[in-house]
Amino acid sequence: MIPFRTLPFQFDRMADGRYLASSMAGDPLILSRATIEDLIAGRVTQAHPEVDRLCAGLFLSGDRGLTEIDLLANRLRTKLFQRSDLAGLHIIVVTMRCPNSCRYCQVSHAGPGDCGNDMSLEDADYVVNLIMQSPSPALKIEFQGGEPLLNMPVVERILELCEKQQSEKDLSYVIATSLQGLQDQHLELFKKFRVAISTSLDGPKDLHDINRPTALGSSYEAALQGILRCREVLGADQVSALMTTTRATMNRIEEVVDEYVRLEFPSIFLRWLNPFGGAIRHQAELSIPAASWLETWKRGLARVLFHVRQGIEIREEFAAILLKRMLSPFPCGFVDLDNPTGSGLHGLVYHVDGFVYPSDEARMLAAMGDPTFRLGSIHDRFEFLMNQPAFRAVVSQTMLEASPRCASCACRPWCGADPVLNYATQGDLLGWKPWSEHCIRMEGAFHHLARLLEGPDRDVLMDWGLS
Amino acid sequence: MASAKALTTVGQRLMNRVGVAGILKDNRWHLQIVNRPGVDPDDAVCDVLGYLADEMLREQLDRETAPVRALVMAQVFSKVNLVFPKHEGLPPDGIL
Repeated sequence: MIPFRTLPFQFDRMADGRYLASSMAGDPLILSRATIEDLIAGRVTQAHPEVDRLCAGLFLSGDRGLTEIDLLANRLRTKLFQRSDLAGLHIIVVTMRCPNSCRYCQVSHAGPGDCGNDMSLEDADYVVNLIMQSPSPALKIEFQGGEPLLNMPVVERILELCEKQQSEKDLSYVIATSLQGLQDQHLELFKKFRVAISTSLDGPKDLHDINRPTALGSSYEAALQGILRCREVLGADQVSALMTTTRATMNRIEEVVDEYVRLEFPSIFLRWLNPFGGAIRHQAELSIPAASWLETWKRGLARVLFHVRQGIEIREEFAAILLKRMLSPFPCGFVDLDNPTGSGLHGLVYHVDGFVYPSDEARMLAAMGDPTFRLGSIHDRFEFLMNQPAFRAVVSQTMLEASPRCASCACRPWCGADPVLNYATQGDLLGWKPWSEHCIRMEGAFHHLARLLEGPDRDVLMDWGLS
Repeated sequence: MASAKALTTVGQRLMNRVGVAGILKDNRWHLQIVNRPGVDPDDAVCDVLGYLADEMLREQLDRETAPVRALVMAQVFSKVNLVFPKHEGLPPDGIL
């Protein structure tokens, strides 16, 4: 009889009494308590009903374990050290001016005519110089605001400088815009430089207009007309939309999904609202607890899967990101799921005032008066910013393998650290996990997806995770 | 009977996993469930007892598989120059 050896793994009890378990390499399995006890006590033999799944998932070794140790180490290293794309994302806040007065706006925006809230052309030169110092072979440059369409001279300047300076780097551009004030000359520029459009669409007209009021009429109509015009000029694949879940959305999430299907979007991201800026000021009327968001997301995901079963091509992006983490060793490009933290390592944020931050949330926190995570300014060199002692401390404290609670969590191989959110909500970089909204959201979502992978939608979910 | 070290580990893990505070005294953990809005205290007690049983299993698993885990981690970190601290402690809120 082959002597089996139990390999290290993590496990968590699920709502139905079974256990979600993950190997060191991150292979997920749902197991009974009896199997968990058999594994730990070394009672699994060739006759055990789960032996094949346990060996395939690297929970169990069929020999002295040397092959599995090599395999586990290789896969774990692949998962942990995907840093060839160090600081591949560069978010440039070109203006704080905005025609909208979104109640959940996570930054303090200024009125459209409020001059003095724009990045200057001179500073744009410094930003490009800094971006080009990043070692990443692929650079994604995202223009944000405010409303970046209100400072197009700086957007144009940056695009031209990047194209002029690029050597062998693979450059891509995105502009996050409400599409209000979109002009033909803007579209010509976007077409010339292959700039993708990321806009906001919170659902049906009345819901969108409640969340995103503007003095210029209906923000929904402006977004809709802009989406159609961008698709016509740039191509449908160059236009995507994001939604934010507020209290008003909770009971209408199915309508939101249906609106995305009606407008023929190939994907929807059912986003939660982070506790910064307007989301804090209007917390009572806007925010929903993480557990409520989780239930809303489950309903929204069910609606997406319903449409997929009807033959419609649409996927839910948050589920797709989590599934990619669960089912493959490859990076998912989602900073919240980076281990150690993706803040700074994943990308940098350049604010209108010339300060540089490791993440959008760090910039939002600074806008609320707490510049703890500020790295320096656009006049500094890349190496100086990335070697800030405070920044190194943040990174070193966010290895989940060494974090309380995370170390033994079944979701650890797929999850990430969010030190800025921990600091903003709990005053602590590591965070106390029983109270962590990040943990409630991520753990709940991973458990739900593990259950769905057992059901009739398995093929669809596998496709989302592996494509 | 669990060793003092095992008790320490299990107690710390329990505090990190669910909303309890605790202190180790005379080889016994004295735990206090921290009230959470919307959670029935009776449910919270059942929750803690269930988690306690799980944590005992985790402690046993760690003991059985520690050599293999160490070998894997040594291989992982042999090719990168990265040092990170081991956090055994808790944020101050978690301690009575």
